[in-house]
Amino acid sequence: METIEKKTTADWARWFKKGEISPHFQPIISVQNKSVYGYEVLGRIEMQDGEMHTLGDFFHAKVHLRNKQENPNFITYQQTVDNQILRKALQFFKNNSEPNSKLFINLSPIRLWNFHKFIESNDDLPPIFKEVHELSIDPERIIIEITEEYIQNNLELLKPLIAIYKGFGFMFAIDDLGSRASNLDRIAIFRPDIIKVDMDFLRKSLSDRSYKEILYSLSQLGENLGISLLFEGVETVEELNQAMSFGSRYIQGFLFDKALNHFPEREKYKENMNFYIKSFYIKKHSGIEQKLLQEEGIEKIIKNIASNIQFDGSDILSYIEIFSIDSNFFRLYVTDLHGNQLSPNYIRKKGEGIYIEKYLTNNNWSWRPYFTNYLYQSKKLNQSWVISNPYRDLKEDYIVKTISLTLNKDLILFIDVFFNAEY
Amino acid sequence: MLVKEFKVDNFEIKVSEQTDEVKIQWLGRSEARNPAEILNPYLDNIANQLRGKNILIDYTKLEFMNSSTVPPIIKFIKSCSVNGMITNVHYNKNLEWQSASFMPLKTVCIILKNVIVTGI
Repeated sequence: METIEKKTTADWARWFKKGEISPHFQPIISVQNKSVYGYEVLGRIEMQDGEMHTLGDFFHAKVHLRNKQENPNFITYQQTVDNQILRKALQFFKNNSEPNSKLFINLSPIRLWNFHKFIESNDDLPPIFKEVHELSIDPERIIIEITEEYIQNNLELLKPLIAIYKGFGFMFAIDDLGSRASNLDRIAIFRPDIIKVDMDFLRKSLSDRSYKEILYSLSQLGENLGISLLFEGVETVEELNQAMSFGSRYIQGFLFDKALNHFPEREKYKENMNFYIKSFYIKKHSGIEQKLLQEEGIEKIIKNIASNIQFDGSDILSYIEIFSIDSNFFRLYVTDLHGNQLSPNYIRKKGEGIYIEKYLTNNNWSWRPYFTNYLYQSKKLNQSWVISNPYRDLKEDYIVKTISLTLNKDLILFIDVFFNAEY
Repeated sequence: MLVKEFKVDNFEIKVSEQTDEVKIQWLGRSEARNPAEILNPYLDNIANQLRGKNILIDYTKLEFMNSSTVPPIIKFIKSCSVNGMITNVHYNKNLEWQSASFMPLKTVCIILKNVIVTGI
């Protein structure tokens, strides 16, 4: 047998003749009710010797790109295999699944595009729609996972077709968001009910803060747009905790089960989930207690700053005293309530001492999120100080937080602090 | 006829009884962020009140609708079909956006009884 890279359509066809393809189902667990929410269909082939193989290599093979003569043979062959799995999966789902459970079915945007392209001459139903209708399955039980394939065509043109699917009750998920092809515009085009995030993305977030920030934003985006997050590939309790920290409503992965040739009972994982959720709560709770302790520490520092501040309307006279309060302070400046900078920047660089940037006077900072956050919290909660979320400082390329402190009713002192400070 | 007309901003639905059918004409622009909120109760009411009658849903003069308007349309057409009403849907095939929206609808409406979608 040729290596995967060199296989032709005929090689693949010979391979398929040596076994039998069948759908397998990987359970997807709802964190909310701790039971199985649905199952993702995954293709498998069982060889004559009983060995089971996934069909991932086959579906990701690009035979048609390597050899133009193979096109459209290979794509047609892929679709034939895909349809066989789909039909078997739907039939099995209809006969064996528990009511209200969902079935996640992968669909390439290319297939949707091909349907759209020939819609005027097409008298057939769109992909998946057709099979679901023929088997009289309620479309509300089907979640179409748009796979991550790159497609050159303007996906915006698929919006009316997507709206039709939705009108009949189908739901949509975007698979593997953040991979090369799944650009953010897919969220606007498909208006998915679910976004699937691969654990690789989360694993990268442990070593690279940019990934972490993207996940926070995604979590916020999901909240704002009414989209649920599903983390797939979850293998450990620690990964489950992280996924839940980012607001994952659904979980899929080996921590619960691999893809199975049957539908596990919906309550099968409940006991484990009860345990995981309890440990998640304990962890979160201790995090909150730690934060409260840190805030007590900040209170003391703030009192210290407030008793040391001397500002004459254009200069912070006591900047040396303020820097001496905490070695993590690296920049100070004062603005009015409209964000207009009144003082220079006082900057401390490690090993270089303090220097003053006078030219920044009259800059305006009201557009920065930490400024808006300060205005909101100081007004709503009547707080005299606010600390921002961590963010990357554009100039210094550090992860920082900003303490905003009301000096009097017209002035605000901003202190930029290195992120690793204990608050 | 008890069915009232519907008008919100620049969007209107007119209902008129013809000799052999009731014409439901959509006019203007349906651009609300969540049109289902207001359209569904209104269209549910029509589907109930016109039970047993033949209807023509005329989109040919509709200037624009966003994709969020499609689910309430489908819900309405499905209700008409379930209620056994012979339902003709007309769209303007010379308008690009109407063809883009109604061609897929025409394709999938083959699964609904008594519903015929036609480009005029």
